[in-house]
Parts: sequence; structure tokens; C-alpha cells
Amino acid sequence: MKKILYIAGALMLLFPALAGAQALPFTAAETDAASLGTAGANLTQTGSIANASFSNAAAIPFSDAKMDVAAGYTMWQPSAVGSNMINVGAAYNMNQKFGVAVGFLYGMNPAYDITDASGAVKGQFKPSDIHVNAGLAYRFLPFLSVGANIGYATSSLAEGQSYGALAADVFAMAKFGGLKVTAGVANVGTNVTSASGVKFCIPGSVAVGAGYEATFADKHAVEALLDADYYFSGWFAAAAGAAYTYGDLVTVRAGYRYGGQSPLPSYASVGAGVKFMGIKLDLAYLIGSSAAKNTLALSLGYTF
Amino acid sequence: MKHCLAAIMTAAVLLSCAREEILPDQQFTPTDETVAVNDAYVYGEARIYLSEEMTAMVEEAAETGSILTKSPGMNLAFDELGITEMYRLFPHAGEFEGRTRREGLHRWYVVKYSQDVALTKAQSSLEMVDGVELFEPVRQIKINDFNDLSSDLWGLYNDSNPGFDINVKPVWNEYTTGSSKVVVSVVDTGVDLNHEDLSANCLSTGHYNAVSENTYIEAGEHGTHVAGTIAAVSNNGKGIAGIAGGDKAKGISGVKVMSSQIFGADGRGTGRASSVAIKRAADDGAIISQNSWGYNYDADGDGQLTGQEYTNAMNAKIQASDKAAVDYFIKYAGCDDYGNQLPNSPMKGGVVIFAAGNDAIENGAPATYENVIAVGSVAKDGKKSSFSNYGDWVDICAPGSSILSTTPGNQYGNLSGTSMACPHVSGVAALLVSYFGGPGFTNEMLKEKLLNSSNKAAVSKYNKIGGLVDAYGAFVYGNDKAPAAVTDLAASGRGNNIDLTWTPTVDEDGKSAYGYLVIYGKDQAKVQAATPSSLEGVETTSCAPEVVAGEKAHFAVSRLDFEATYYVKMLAYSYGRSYSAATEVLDAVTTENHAPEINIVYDGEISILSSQTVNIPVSVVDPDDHEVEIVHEGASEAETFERNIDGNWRLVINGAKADVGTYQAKITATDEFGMSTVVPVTYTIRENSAPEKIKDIENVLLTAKGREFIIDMTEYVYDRDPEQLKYDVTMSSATIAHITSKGDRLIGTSLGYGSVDVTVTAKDARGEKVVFTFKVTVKDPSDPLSLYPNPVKDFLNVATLDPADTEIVIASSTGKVMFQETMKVSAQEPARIDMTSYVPGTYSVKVKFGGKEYKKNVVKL
Repeated sequence: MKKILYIAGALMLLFPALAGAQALPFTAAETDAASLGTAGANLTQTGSIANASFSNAAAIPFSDAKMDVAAGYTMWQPSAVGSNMINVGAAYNMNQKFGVAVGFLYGMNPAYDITDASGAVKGQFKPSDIHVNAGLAYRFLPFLSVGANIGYATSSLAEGQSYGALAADVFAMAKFGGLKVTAGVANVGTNVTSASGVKFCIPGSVAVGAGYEATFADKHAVEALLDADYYFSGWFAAAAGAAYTYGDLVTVRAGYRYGGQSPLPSYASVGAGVKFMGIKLDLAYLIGSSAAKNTLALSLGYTF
Repeated sequence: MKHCLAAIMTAAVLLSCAREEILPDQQFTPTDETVAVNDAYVYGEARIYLSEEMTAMVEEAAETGSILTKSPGMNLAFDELGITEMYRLFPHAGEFEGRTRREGLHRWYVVKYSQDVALTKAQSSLEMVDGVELFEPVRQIKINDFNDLSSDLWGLYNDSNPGFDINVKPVWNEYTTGSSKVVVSVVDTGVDLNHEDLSANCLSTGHYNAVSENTYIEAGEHGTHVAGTIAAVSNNGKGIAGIAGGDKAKGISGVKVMSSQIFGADGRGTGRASSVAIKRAADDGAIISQNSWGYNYDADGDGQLTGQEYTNAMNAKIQASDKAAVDYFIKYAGCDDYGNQLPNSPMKGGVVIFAAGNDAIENGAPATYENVIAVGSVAKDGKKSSFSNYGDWVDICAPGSSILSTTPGNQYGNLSGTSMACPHVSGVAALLVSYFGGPGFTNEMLKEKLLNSSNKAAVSKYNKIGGLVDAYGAFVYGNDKAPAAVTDLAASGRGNNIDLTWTPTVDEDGKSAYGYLVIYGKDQAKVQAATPSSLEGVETTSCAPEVVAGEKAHFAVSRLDFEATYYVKMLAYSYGRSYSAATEVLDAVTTENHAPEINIVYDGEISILSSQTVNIPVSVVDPDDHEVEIVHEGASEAETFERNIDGNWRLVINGAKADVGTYQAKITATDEFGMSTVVPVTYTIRENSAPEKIKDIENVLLTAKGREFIIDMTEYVYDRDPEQLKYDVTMSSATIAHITSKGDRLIGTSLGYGSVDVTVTAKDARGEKVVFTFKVTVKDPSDPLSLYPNPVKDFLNVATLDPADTEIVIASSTGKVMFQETMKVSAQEPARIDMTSYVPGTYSVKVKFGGKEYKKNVVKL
């Protein structure tokens, strides 16, 4: 853990010029309905690992599932930009020793009017975002694993105008009974240069997470999750969430995110899910006064 | 081996002899021994003229089949030059061999030698040989035409400029359209003997290709065009009418064309074939030799005569072999071997007609040879064609610019050149022979009719291209009644002119005199003795002034000596050149030269503003009618001196083009004898006042497309000078509005929604200016929120319709609020938000004003 903090500190020193606005902010958005139900607190979450390539691959070997796949739709911040996002993810857990995950996200933004410097309308353009990720994990001790994700994110903003960057996450995770802790760096990657020549880094952070899960009377399971990010730009954000599951069939979730100055504002979340014969259906809804309000996410998955 | 004495010398004969010889008519002047390329000559070939003795030796060798003559000198020259062939220039002429030999044509030989040998070397070697009397290099020859496009037969009937044609229609109506007994040899490129509009008037046999020495004629454009002018079948409903083309509808044949080809298929000639072709045509029955070709002096082939080329061209004369052939044709055409007119020939002797040439110089071999008829060219307006050669040696002129005629392949086309003028004269000559020809009709009779009847009043004598050929005049020549003599001729000197005044006369039938012949000179006795047929020692000129009934005629004899006494008399003549009695010989004294008079029309002092331009009429008159050269010596850039379409001049002074000040220009008129008049023109350009701004132009707001607005600039700018300012309008966008200036008003129209920055520069004539900037905004009332530009690189403009306190919130795609502020915003004063520090991405912009909230997305790049 100390090592990870050292690395993060070194990265902050290395990229001081990149502090400030963060490029490709959609890479910080959470679109998995199960995770969004707990306000995005998911670094130590092991019950749903299909989208681990977008969060923490090191969690895969601690999951009880061998394989987890999911596809989802998110109506993102309809009162603000109003994007529609589709995401697909899959993870494979080999003997709870090795883990592999891939993920794909496609965001469709509303069309905007193209106007020239005089205000004359010249047409329309529909921006879009793409994010692809892949992750690997290795549990080298019964209680300790490491994992890494690497991906590419790009935004198409105007005709012939696209911006892209490579990004990577590195985490270590430990589990002692029902207690799980993790730490690492997220979204460390290349820069994006604007048309006016200003360079921007993607929203990288030092991230830590903790979780505790317990089962009572065989049918009642609870899980508490806490994530915190310290962005290289100096911002701080944290998310806390809890989930209750009955008989491994029905789950309800709630959470709160403190966004601070980070790309994602503060919001509260509620969510629910059902699981039967390995098929999962999850739903999440965001509440609050910020632009995130009314965001709705839905995902369908299969696990065994 | 035909008439060829091919000889390749293998032995050197060690005998030489020196000789001095003058080469008459020799045009080739040796300058060096190089073999430089010179397109004016054919290399490896020459013509030599042998003595009787040498000719006999050559012929004797030929009879024995030997290639060696008994002349050691000739044999040595053969060896030195590498001569490969030697043969008679004019081949054995069969039944006409007798006259051929009497004229010495059998003594002309062609020698062919190595092309590496310089002409000078060949000349010096052969001239050293006893028995070689003349060495003549072979000149390249060229076609005398130009290509252009127009279409009519104006040369035959000029309806746009009556009088400037060959006047042939009355001949067709009253006399003849041609006769098949007349054969015209077209010495040229080959004639298209199968042309639909020509074949009926071509000989069935008798054509000769002197280039390839056979009877196969290769159709060429030039020769076919020339032949069509002479003898295209007339009145057949096809193509064109030839001058002597017969009357197909009446079953009358035209004159016959004999094609005597002297150019290869590529249109280039070498000149070696011309003399043969001319001579052979006489032996084959032609009585008119039509020649639209000349010598080429453009040695470097650049299309112009420069330096030595020009000198050579100006000194050129007919080459001796061509001269011999021409003389032969003139003497023997239409005759038997002894020079007697053949029973079936329409004329005793021939006429050789040559184009004057197209180099626009005062020479033109071979047309300068006095025994040929040299033809210059006139254009449709009656003026000398710019290309036509000229000189006192030109006998007559004819239409030669833009002439329509036949071309190979049943086609028709326009060509220009003295080449086109020449067949007009040949055609008229053929008509004359067709009508007047028969026993006792001679070539001299033909020439008299043709040349003496030419319309000399139609073409200025100073053009030096003779009178315009007049077909009808030639037919009536000497056959009509003479007008009465002039009885009241008055003469007076004016400068170097003599002004003549007289009452026009008529013949006994009341027909007006066709023209008046003026005979003048300084020798009273010679003027007194001179008659139209005997003009020794006197000068003449003709005139046909247009006279209003009841008034006197006027004419000036010009270009005389100043302050000299001249004697003058006048004879009236009819169309057929029947002359009246002469007037008394009057004397007139020319005066001193008078300077040209310059008249500048301007009232008062010439004082102008920078914004003003004045046009000052300038007219120049020479009291002696001399040509005047006018020179303008400008004092500033403000002046231009221009010629009006009426021939007068104007001095234009543009005050904006020179500094303030007083200037004096000079206009000088100088006559052709150097007498000058100088008139100064003084003018002042006054101080300029710069335009001044009264106030700024207000912004313009429009709420619909297609709306017009007007800005009266006199409310915003003032100029103390009474001048019209010029308004230049530039706009940051061409799609929002269009603004144009008209006088002092700017007239604008809204084209699309948006906002445009407008810059108006008000300039005076001297370029001093005032600049205005304002904004034109066209707003759609149904869409009150405008965000621009979008995508945005740095600053985003947020505009509303009416001015209002407006809250603006900008959030990123993840919902982070990037900007939130309330400010005064309107359509013309939009909020300007700096987004330079925003990451590239999509942003939502929420704007609240007037109690309503509006949302749009923008993209930052």
C-alpha cells in the first residue's frame, strides 16, 4: 500500500502541469447499474465483476463467480448534456487465481447546431464517445491479488475532430474474511491537446477502497462499500454504499457520492437487482440537485 | 536513266585552270565556308549553266553512257564535291526541243553532291571549271498565304464596300464566263482534280508533278484554293463561283486548269521544280502561268526577316533558271516550235503572273522580274493588305485578304495572302483570253487590257501596289466614248500640293467621266507633249472625286517639292479608258511648308481638385495635308493622351494621380517634313481635404431574413471638397447580410440569421479615409438563444434577443458546473465566455432570461 501511495505521489509530481481540467471526463462516469446503485463505490465489490475492466481487475480472483457477463444502458444526466450510453463487459475467473476482463462503452450525445463565428447555423453534428478496456489479475497469495487495466478512450466532437487517450489502472487488493481493502492508481494515461493548444490529462487519481460483507441466517447478506479518490489535479471525491440481498435472489442498494471539484458531481443513488438461475437484472437511479439527477441505468447479466 | 547524266567521279584529274566570271542575277553571296543550316537554300544541289562547248561534251558523254566528260576541270570538280548526279534541268521537250535549245534551256543542268559540302565550296569549285557559265544555288520557295476565317466571295462582289472588288459580274452578264480553249497552269501545290466544284474545269491530262517528275498530282490546300478562285465551276449550285468557271446551268465550260505541282505533299518546296514546271506548261498548251509562290529568305525559319535575311530579301531578284523558264513561257506559250501561233491556240505567247509576296517589304522576287505581272493584295475595305509586298514593280492588285475558295476533299476554306490576290488577276486574264482570244490575239494585247484598265483611283498610288484589277474595265477598255474635255481647270499651290478645281464633264450621251488623268511635271514642254500612251518625263495621277451636282470637283496633287513651279494638265476619261482632249497646261507654284496647327479646347484656367478628371479636346490640322506626328510630353502622372475614334485627340488630366501643384505639359505636332508646332498646357491640382467622421455608425438589428436597411453616410462622414467619396465595405461573414454602396448610401439586406462585423472605409480620390465599424445582427425571434461559434475553440458568444439580465450555466458532460454567472446580454452585446481552459468535449449551456430557461449543447475543441 505504501508503495502505491509513493507511486501516486510520484505521478502527481510528474504531471503538475496537467492539474486542472480533466480530459475525456466520461471515463470517470459509472455506467454499470449494480455499481451505480451504490453511488459508484465498487473497487472492492466482488459480487458483480463483469465490468471489472472499468474499475478494479484485482477484485476478480476474490469473486465466487467463474464467469460474469453484462450489458447495460444508461440515460446519463438527462437534465444536462443528456447522453445515452451502452456498455458491455465480461470477466473470467480462473480457479480464483487469475482473472481476465474486457469492456466496451459507447456514448451517444445529442446533436448540436453547428454555428460559425457570426452565429449562422451551418448544420448539425452528433458527438459520440467510445471507451474500450481490458484487465488482468493475479492472486499470488490467498489474501492478496494485483490487477491492471488498460484501455483507450476517444470522443468524436465535430467533423474530423476526435480526441483520444490511452489510460491504465493498477490496483492491489487484500481480503481477510469479510473485509476487503484495495488501493491503486486509476486513469493514468496520455494527454489530450485542445484546438487552442492547451494540454489536458485524463482524470487520473489515487484510489483506495474498502468493503465488508456478511451473511446472516443463510438468507440475509449485507455489503458495505467505501471508495475514495484523490485526483492528481488535487481534487477529492468519495463514495459510500450499501447493499442488502435476500436469498441470493433480490438485492437493494443505496449510496452517496461526494464529488467535490472532481468531474463527477455529488449525488445519492438507489438501486435494486434480481438474480435467478445466474441471470441478473439490475437497476439504478440517481437523486440530487446536481446535473447527475434523474440518471437511470439498467443492466442485464449472466453469471456462473 | 531519262535525261540524267549520273556521274560519280572516281579519278582525280590533275588539271586546273583559273578563270574570272561575273554571275549575272546571282543572288547568292558567298560569305564563309561553313555548312550552317540555312533554310533559305537546298543543300547538296545546285544548277549550273554550261557553255555550248561544255554542253556538247556532257551530251556526248551521255550518248556513250559514260559518266566522264572530256573536261578535266569538270571531272576534278566532280571529285572534289562528291557529285553523284548531273542531269538536264529542262528535260528533252520532244516536238518542242528545237525552241528549247534555241532559248538555251538545254544548257541548264542540275548537279547533286554531298550535303556536307558548303554552298560556297560548291560554288567556287564549279565556277573554276571552264564551260560552267553560271552557278545557281537552289533556293527554298514558299507559299504566299496566311490562314484565317471569314466567309464570302467579296473579291468577286463586295457588297459591304462597293467598288472594292474585281467587277466581274457585268463581264459574266455581257461578255463571257470563260472558255475551255484557255488553259491556265497553276504552278503551286497539287490541285485536287476530283473536287466536286473544280473537277469539271480541270484538264483530263497534261498535269505534271515536277517534284516527283511524274503525272501523279498530290492534292494540296494551297493549289486547290488558287485553282478554285480561277475556275471553280460557276452556277452549279455547289460551293463557290470561279472567276472564269463557266456557267454550268447553261452548259458553258470554264477555262481549264493545268496543275503544275512544285511543292511536295508537306507543302515545302525546294525551288528546283519551279522552272521545269513553268517551262513544261508552255509545251503542254497553257497560255497563262499562275504563280503564287516566292523565294524564302527566312533562313532561320523564325517567321520573320531580320538582319541579313532582310538584306538578302531586299536585294533579291529572280534566279536565272526561273528567268529562263519565264521568258520561254512568254515567248512560246500557244506557239509552235518556231514561235508561230498554233491554229487552235487563243493567244500568241503567254503571260506569267506572280504573287508579290507576303513579307511586307519593298521587294519580292521573283515577282520583281519586269516580264511578269506582279500582283499585290488589297483587303475588303480597299486598303493595302498589311502583309503585301509593294513597290513600283507591282503592276496590279487584287483582293487577297480572307478569300473563300475550294480546298481538298470537297471542302471550302478561307486563306489570305498575295497568293489569293494573284489568281484573281489570272482569272480575269483567262476571261479576257476566253472572249478576245483567237488568231492574232497576243499576250501584249492581253497585258494592255489587263493593266491599263486597272482602277487606279481606288487604291492610293502611295501604297505602291498598282491599280485594282477591273474585269469589266478590261473588257470595255478602248471601246466607249470619250468624255468632253475639261475647260475650266484652275491650279494653285498650297505647301507642296497643287490644288485643282474644275467642272466635271460628260460624254455626248451625258454620261459622266469615269475619272481624270492628271499629268504634271516641272518641264513645261514635256507636260505639253505627254499623252496617256506617252508619259515620258512626267508624273501622273488619277482621281475620281465625288461631286455634288452643280458644284466643282476638287483634287490635290501632293508630295511635290516646296516652292517650285509645276506645270499641269488634265484629261477626262471614260470607263473604257477613252480619253478626252487635254486641258491647257497651267502653271502653279508650290509654297513654303506650313506648320501644323494645334487647337486645344478649354475655357479659362485649368484648375482641378484631386477628385476631378478633365477631358480636353485636342485637334491638329496640317494646312498642307501632310501626315502629322503628335507627341505628348507629360508633366505628371495625372496626364494621359488618348486618340478618339474620330481621329482627334484628348488630353485627360486625373487630379488623383499626381501631387498637388502646378504642371505644364507640352503637345508637339510635327509634319513629315519636320515642321513643328508646340503648345504648352498648364494646369493646377489643388489641395485635398480629407474626409472627417461626424459620428459612429450604430449597430443594426433585424429580425427576419430578406429585410432591407439603408444607411445615409452623409450623417456620418463629411468632406470639405465637393467630391463623391468611395465606400469600401468588408464583412466578417458573407452569409448574414449583403451591403453595397450607392452614392452616399449603404444599402443592406439580411440574408441569414447571425451577427456580422461590418467595416466601412470612406475614401476620397486621394485615398485619405475614415473607417467605421458596426455590427449587423439578424435574429430569429422563435429561437431567442444563440450560441456561437459552435464548436468553439476559445470564446463562446451567448446572445439573446432583447437586452436582459441573463443567468448562464455551463456544465461538462459529467455534470460538473464549469461556469455560472448572471450578466446583461442582448443580441448585439452577447456574453463572451472564455472557454480556452475547457477540455475538449460536449457541454450543456443553460440560460435563463425573461422568466424562461433555455438549454443547448456546445462542443469545445
